[in-house]
Amino acid sequence: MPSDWSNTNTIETIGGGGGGQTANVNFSGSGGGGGGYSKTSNLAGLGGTVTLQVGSGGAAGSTGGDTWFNGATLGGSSVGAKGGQGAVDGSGGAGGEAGSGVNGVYSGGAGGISSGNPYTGGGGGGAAGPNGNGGAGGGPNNVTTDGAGGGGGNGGGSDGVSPNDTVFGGNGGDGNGGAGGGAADTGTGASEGTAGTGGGGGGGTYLASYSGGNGAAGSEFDGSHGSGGGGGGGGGRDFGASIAAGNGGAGANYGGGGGGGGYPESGTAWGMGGPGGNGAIVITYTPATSTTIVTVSLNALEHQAVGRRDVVEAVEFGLSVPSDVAVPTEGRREIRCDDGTPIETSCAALRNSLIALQWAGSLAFYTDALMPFEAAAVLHRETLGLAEFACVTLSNLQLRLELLIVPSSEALLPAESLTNGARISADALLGLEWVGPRSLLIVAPQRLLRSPGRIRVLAGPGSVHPLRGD
Amino acid sequence: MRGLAVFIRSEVIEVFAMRITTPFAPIEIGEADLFAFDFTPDVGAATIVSTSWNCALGPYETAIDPTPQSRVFSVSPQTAIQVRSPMDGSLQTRTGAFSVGLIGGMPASAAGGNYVLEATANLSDGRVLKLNSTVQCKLPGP
Repeated sequence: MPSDWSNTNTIETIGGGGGGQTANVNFSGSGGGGGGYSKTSNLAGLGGTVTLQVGSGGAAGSTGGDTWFNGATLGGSSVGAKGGQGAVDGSGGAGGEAGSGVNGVYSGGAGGISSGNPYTGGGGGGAAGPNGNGGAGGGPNNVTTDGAGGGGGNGGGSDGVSPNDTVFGGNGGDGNGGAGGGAADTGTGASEGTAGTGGGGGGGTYLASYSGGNGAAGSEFDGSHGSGGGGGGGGGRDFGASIAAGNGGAGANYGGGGGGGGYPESGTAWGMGGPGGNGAIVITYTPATSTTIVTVSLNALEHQAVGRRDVVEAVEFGLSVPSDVAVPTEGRREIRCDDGTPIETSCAALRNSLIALQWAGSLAFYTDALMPFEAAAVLHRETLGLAEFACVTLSNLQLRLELLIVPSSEALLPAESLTNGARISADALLGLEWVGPRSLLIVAPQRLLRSPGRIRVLAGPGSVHPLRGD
Repeated sequence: MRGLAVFIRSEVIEVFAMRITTPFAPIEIGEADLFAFDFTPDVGAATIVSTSWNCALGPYETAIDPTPQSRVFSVSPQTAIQVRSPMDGSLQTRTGAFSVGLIGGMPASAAGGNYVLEATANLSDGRVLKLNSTVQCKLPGP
């Protein structure tokens, strides 16, 4: 499993498509079944190596492989889908049943049947997908001159058309988007389903004996990946001519069933059954961002819930407990020591920080920090060159700027602006303080008496004859 | 005016206590307010470097204040004060040489008595000036 695997995930599986049947002396080929679809979400407890299997598409007449994740077998897995069955004489392959899978959601479409008289093959069933069951393949009715059946559309799509009293093949079923089924052969060949739609391939016509159209891949997972449509049935011909039988169209990736082959005019040039599409596993997860423990890492970028030591140039965002960090950026609720040039935002208890910048609101304790910038509720000791704003207790500071409510002592060159309460300063040199400037006293005019201005002092220190001015 | 001769070594410093005949506005029991003497006409080019106040009940007063000096809460020299104009109530700044004392806390037993408030101003040129006046202590109310 990837290192950033998390329990936020979805795992989807599609079984391999069953192979269409190759015609034989008794039967034209029927269509193979489409693979089933299973899904699970938020699978927990994974790690290390996980055992899985992606089912292969069945060869002509063979069943598609089962697809599963996290287990040695389908039944022992966390999620898995059944493959579509291969077609046999007079019977289309069954689609992979949701109920036979693990966390099965939708079933694959059944292959179209070509039984009895027709010379043409049945269409393959479409694979199930996130949007629904796969469409069933069409099959020629029991009329020798009916065209081949169209392939079924993918999960959520429509069934392939079964020709009835017409030499032309049946159209392929549309994909889950409501379009894309391949056009039937009307004498010039059958069309494939439209790429990306999951449409089924068109069926071949009687007489011309073209091959059936291939199914088209779906696009539910991204632009080119999804459940596949079934292949169209191959065209065939009665005896008396020299045209070979058409092959069944291939089932598309992922999980489409193959179309059945047509019957030849003579000999054993049987129309070959189309192969089924391969299965698939689609894993989607949200990368983990938490509960990581890193030691001795350089230039770490971490997001939350991190316990670290000896990290240089870390960037962290929350719930960190680092130590010995140089040049970190940290978000909140941190306990750190011996950091250089940190930027911290809240609730930090720090020691021995150099050039700290902190601005969140409360309860930080500092010792031995140089040139910090701090905002509130900070207890400092032996700090140089700091600027602080509120509720600060300082000692042994130099070159500081403080704004309010600052008890301090032994400060050099302080500039303090507010002394609204409980400020204690001692031993300050070159202090500049301007808050609480002495205002002029206001005296009532009735309580201000003015000297009449008479000369009353006759002598001062050193005067011998003050009246003579000596 | 009466002269008080103070001998310090062989030098003579004449210190006069000037009584200002105008009394201060009466002070009520429990009141505290700023009182000021304006020494500006006397200081000339000198400044007041320190000041002190003395508070005592006047002679022959029957009112009782066992600790009249304790009515002087604080004193300070000022080079400017503000006086509220009796005309329009606005504050007017006056500059000069003032000795300001915060006086108050007279006991009820002193009601009706007259205190003598005396400010001493020590000038930068060595002179020592004194001004005093009286203030009546009265019960609260008109």
